[in-house]
Amino acid sequence: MIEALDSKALVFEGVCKTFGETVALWQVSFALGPGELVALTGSNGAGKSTLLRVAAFLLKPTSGRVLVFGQSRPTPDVKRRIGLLGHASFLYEDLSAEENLKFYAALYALGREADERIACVLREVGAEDFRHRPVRTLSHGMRKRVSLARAMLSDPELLLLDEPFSGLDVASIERTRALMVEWRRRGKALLVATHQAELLDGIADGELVLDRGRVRSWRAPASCGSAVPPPVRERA
Amino acid sequence: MRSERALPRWWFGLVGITAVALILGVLHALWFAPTERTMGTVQRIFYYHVSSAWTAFVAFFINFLACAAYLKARHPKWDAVAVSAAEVGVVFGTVNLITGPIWAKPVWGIWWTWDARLTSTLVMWLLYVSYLLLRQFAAEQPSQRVWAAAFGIFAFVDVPIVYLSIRLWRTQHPGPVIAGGEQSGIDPRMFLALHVCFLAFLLLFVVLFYWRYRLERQRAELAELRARLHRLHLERSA
Amino acid sequence: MSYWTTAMRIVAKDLLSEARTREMTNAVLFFALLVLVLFSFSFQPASDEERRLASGVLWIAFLFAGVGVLDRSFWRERVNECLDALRLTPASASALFVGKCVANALFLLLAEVILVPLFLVFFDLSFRGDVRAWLLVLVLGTWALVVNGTFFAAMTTNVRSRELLLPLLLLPVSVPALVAVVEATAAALLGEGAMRVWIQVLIAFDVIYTTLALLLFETVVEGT
Repeated sequence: MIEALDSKALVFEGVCKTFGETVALWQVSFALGPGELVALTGSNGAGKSTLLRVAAFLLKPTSGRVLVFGQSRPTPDVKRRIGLLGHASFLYEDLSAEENLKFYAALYALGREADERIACVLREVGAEDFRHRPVRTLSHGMRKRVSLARAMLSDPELLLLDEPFSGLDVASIERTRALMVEWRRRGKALLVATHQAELLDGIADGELVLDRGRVRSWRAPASCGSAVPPPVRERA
Repeated sequence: MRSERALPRWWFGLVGITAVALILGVLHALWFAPTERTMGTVQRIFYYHVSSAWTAFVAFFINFLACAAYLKARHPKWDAVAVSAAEVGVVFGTVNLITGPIWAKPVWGIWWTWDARLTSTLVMWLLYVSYLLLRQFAAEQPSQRVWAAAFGIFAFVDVPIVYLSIRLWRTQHPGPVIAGGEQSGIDPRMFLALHVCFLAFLLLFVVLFYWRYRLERQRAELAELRARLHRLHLERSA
Repeated sequence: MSYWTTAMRIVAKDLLSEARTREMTNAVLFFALLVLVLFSFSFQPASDEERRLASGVLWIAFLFAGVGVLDRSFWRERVNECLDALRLTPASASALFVGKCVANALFLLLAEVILVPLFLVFFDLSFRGDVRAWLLVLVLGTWALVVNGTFFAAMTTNVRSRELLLPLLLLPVSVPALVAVVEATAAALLGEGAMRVWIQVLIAFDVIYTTLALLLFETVVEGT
């Protein structure tokens, strides 16, 4: 039987997501625990972005269940524990990196620690040098760093990264990989979507391969074992 | 999901009853009701003008209730009720807006006047045409249904406010009022004719509404079947 | 974080964004100005009846400005999918909505405050009536447009032809408020006529629609 599902950071049980006639996700089941990094791979259009958005509670599954830290509804508490790096940067073009972070920090109710936290994430991603420049003037790589900083603001325990390597040079890719390893070491759960699976070689504990919305293969992290929920049968 | 291929038998029965009612309505409007003293024969259009306005209002009220129900329960059937009621309501509203000037011009010499009743029926019509446009432009996205339901509520809440504000405006700037629907001293045969016509229109509304509602539900069913087929196909090819 | 602080954060963010570029205020002002200029070619109000007409012209200019503000305000959120980012935060959706409304209202008021003197100059008019009361009308009328406009702009943010759809949705709903503001403005210009009753209409309209918008916004946004 499924043991300790509550200890998992993210659980998908038979999740389906359809948009009218289009099937974006179909019977997706997997589990991700703290301190684990799962690579989410598949070609473009496989449903990786949709899966991440469902995991972040931006989309409701058409059927099936999503549990984040045991919760199936996006309470404010749960939201604070999720960090999403999306396809788009989530940044306001006319504001500086620091101003963007200050704004989001307020919405995440970081209160007095906000400034400290902002300095910390900017340092971590290596964006201190251009923290005062408007986002509009930043290069693609710099923006990605600031977006990453934004995702890390509330020190989330579940990180959902959508194509974090896209458009980055080799040095930036290396830095991002190092960050992921560090975050995993700190006990965060990471789900990283990329169509370049080789970039996660050596650091991924598990791999979920999607093909047109369906799970082609699921290699659970070593500690997971039998704790993967069986797919839910569709009622005819 | 129940799969009903054809419209239910009771609907056809209702069509028959509606046809009878409409014929009765015509008889009353064109024959039984006396000719109005000052306006003459053209006044008879009033029975259709007023009935269509009342029917449109009933339709939009149903839309309002369905929108509220949809926001609460999110069941697609309420959305189907909402769009069907709105569409048929707009049709009746159009009839009302066309018959108005046809009646007004020969009798009062003007095509239109901005009195409270006419203005609020025009605005009501505009509101629901906008509602339908919103649905049309947002058709691809199922999440838009919720927004459309919210707009439906905004729209219906506006109807009485518009009426009252134009009434208020008119007290300050009096203008011609195209008489109609005044119940003061109306001849009992005219009263009867009006209500027979209204009843006939209501029945016609139910007939059209239900037809449209079934169409909407069948469309949803078709989409669901297509999605299922797609999934099965995917599974087979795995 | 409290409701109001969240809302004010949005206002601050929008004001800061706009202060940086001033794109919106420039474009909106210029457009509204064009409307006034074009109308002033048609007539120079001499009689009382024409003063009444001028009142309508002013509010048409304000309407154009309002739609411009709303469009631009949500464009900023749409560009990098910031609306999704806002939904990810634990902040309450209706607080975010109120913040957006207040920010939009401030921008529109700013445009109006600049347009009014220009209007008086172009049409050679002056306020014969109670100006202070009229300022209240201005604020209430602006809020009436903005509260519904922000809701509908959020509604149409992912819809095609949204620039066309927003005014189509907003104008019919705003008819009572528009009648009220045009009448009150005419009364202020003429120095006669009842302003008080129209202020009451505006207050009622604002209360009803603000309540409705707040009630419905959270319901609609949660769970797509």
